Amino acid sequence: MVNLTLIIVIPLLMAFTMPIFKMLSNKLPKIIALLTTAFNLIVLSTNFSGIMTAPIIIEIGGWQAPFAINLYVGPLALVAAFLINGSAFILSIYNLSQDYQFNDKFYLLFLMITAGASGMVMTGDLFNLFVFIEITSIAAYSLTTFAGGNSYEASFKYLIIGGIGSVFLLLGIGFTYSAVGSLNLAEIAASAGLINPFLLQITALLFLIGIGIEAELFPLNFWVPDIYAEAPTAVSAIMSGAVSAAGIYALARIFFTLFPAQQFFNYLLVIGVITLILGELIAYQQENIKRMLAYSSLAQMGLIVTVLSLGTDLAVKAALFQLINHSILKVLLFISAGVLISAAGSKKIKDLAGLGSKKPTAAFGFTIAAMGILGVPFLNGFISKFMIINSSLNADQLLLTGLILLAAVIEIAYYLKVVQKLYFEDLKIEVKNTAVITVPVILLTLLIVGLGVYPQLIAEPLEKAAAEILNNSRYIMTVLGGI
Amino acid sequence: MIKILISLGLMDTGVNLLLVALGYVEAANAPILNSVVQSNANAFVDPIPQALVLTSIVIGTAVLALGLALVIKIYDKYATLNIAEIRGLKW
Repeated sequence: MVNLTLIIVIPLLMAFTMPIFKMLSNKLPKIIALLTTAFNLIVLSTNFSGIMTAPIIIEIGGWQAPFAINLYVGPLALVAAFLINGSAFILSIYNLSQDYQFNDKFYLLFLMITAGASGMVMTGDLFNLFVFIEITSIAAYSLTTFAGGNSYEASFKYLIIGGIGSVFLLLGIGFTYSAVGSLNLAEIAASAGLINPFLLQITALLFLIGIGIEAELFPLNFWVPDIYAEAPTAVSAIMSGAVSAAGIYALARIFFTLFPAQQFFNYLLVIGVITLILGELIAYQQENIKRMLAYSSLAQMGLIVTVLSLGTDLAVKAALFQLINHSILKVLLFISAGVLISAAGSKKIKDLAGLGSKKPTAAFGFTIAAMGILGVPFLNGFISKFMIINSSLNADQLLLTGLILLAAVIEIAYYLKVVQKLYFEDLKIEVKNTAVITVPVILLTLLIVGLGVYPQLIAEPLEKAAAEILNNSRYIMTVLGGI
Repeated sequence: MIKILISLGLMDTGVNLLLVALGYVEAANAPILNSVVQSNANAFVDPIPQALVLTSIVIGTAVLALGLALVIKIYDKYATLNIAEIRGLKW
């Protein structure tokens, strides 16, 4: 067992020593980034069985829970942290064959975003959550600009939306503090019933706006397509695979642990459905492949939030499984799309025709991930789609089930369009040299097939995480103890 | 664009002011213990909002600085600060 604080501390330390490593050797930063993320994964794995039996609470500075900032790592945070650090690890492997100008600064920010997102899922303090959200998004603003070109504009857009969102979040934190007199998540949850219901509603709305931006919810998600389309591939992938997972985690923490009330779930349900349908419809019309993936990612977030807000045990499990699948699949989709784009020298879907035989690894990666998202049997997406439909039918939401199925049909249409272009059309184009992505593709494909054939693999963490989301009194008890 | 950033800064300041006001106690001292002026704990303003505001001021500054840097880059490309004329990204 290794102290879990290191998951946040080591990436930060490595991030800020990056310029020194760069001075030693130009190749060193990317290796350091790889080692750091691998280290994080190892730390998480050694703590796995411990967290499954009892959540780990780390009190910083040695003061007891309500007085000092504490870290809380339960099954839910563990799942999210695995997703974040796993995507960061895979992307560091991908980055080995990439060259960035100012590579020390790129990896500095890359590790910052990893540390920030990990911090978001591990913290047990409201203001700390805000700080980590800011770390993550400021790193994201600047990482976007490494692509040059239109990316400055995309980044500016995100900065404005993110800046306004953080003001709302801060306001929400201020109101919560004035009502409860504490910033500790467990203590707020314990006394949330005492808050004036009207104030509670406003506060919840403020949190929804503040965190909805990270979780890519309608109508706060218009930065998403620009960022994903213009940022470097690794950045789009980490935003989609890790940061949005952290956003969903924060949303679940606020609305299930802090303020569990049926009316908020109804808001979330409506917002989720709108995000889902709108995302899929716009994705269908896109000609730019990265933009298509961005809208698809946004739709998936909508789906996850929708299912999560059904609030039944089955539904929460399905949503978490979908979240895991989404992270794995989107990382694979983005890196293979990135290779295809640099091979064709264009982001247009129609220019990618015929790359299936010229870039077999990337085309295979894209295809298998697309199949996974569509829910082809024996891939992981099938199981989670099945669980989602099952849970929404069980909750007697026929209309909702219909809408989810409709969204799935649209999804099939646009993903197969790309796959068809890749394999069944031919265009005589010069293929440029690209990054090598064999290792990430193999790793992720193994995960996709593994989870599809043997979903029992993550049954226990899912079970425990769902229980943690739905039962906030246990969270309060474990953090506050006898107080 | 500069004006958008100014407004963002104003919003930040407004919220910070509100946060400080939340912790205000009538006729109270700054929350600093010292040996020169003997004061009791009841006459302190709430220190936590002040700590929060300090952090959020720093974050706000960082965001503003980054925003201005982006504005410089965008100005280099389009030679204008009017967002209506910047149309690189349209869905």
